[in-house]
Amino acid sequence: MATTRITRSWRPENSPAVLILTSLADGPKHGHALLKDIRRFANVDLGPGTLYGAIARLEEQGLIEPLATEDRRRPYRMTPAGSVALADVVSSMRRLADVGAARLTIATGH
Amino acid sequence: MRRDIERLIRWYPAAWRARYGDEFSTMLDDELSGGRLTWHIYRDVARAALGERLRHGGLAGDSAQTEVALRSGALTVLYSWAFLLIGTAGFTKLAEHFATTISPHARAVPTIAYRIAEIAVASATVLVFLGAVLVTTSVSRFLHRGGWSVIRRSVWRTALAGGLSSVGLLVLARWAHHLTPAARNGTNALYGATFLTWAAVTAVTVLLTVDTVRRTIDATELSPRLLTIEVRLAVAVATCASVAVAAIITWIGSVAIGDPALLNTHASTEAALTSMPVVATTSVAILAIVLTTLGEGRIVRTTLRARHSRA
Repeated sequence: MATTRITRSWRPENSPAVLILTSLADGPKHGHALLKDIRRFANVDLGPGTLYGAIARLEEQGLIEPLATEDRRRPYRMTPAGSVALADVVSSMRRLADVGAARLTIATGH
Repeated sequence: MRRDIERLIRWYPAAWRARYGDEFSTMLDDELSGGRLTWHIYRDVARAALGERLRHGGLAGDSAQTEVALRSGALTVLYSWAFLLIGTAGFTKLAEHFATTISPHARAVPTIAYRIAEIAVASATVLVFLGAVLVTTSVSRFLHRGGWSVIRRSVWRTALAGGLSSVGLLVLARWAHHLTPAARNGTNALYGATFLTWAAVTAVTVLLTVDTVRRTIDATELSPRLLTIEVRLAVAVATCASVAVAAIITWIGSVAIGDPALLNTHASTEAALTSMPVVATTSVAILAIVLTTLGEGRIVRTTLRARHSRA
């Protein structure tokens, strides 16, 4: 249990910004849809303050953009710069995963 | 429920609420679907709202405009000066008559530290007043353009606290005239309690005054040249405040080691360092140094960032 808590806190894929970009990679979503999607694919419960803090930063950096409001719900979509940023993060996580897996194989002999 | 959500959103700064408030409350409505706000949500929103307030005030993050960040750094230094004044008042009471009562063998370091603290606090105060004089024209322009309505409540609140403090001072002065030195310094409990209440009101007045200045300067247009001068003055005030706090702490430490009887009746270093007046003075001085570091750090980071982006 303790290990789960520790690893969850430093896993790079748990960064709210990465989670939001990953969620928006398959199409625009509003706040609540983002929370539900992130819960489903990452098993992470983002708080509402954390979600909107990350949305505001991503918007400032031009990685996502707001669309027209629908019934007081404002959807966001990923910008081309956001796609590039997410691709960069994913490829760096893949490199890390490959190195980690290879070294674990050497260490454990499996 | 809606009212709870609206109250929660008020924790965020006005500009943030104007941009995200509606969609944020709808998202919370959807998320709770009729349920109650949980402790987890309160904690998460409190942390996020504090972050946004610091960001909007230019105290955190790199997104704030250079001008906003420099201004907020300088105003944070102004708050540190207010705490320095309050700490110095406590220190002055603590060090009252020390020059004539301290043992000769323990006199040298405290005497030098006291003199340095005096000079540093006086220099910081002169610099703050110089900064105030320099913005007078800009502030009067702001007031002529209807700025009074922005700061009116704050000014009245400060004036009320200032009035209370002045009346309290007159009452205490008349009362003290009829008391012996021993009664003034602790044996008369009612006088002691009244003095502490007056000290608290005066400290609040100092903080309200600085807060009114902050609100005024926040809303006043400053030319780039004037802002640069004000920021330089703030760095100088921060340096004086750091020197003053170091001198006050040196004074307390050297007296607690050399002649602890001056700070408490038990005459031990431990008792001297943990006595209420020493702890209170040190705490306020530390708060001043924390604010100084925050404000100066903000100025330095912003200046370096601006230079880097120009290069």
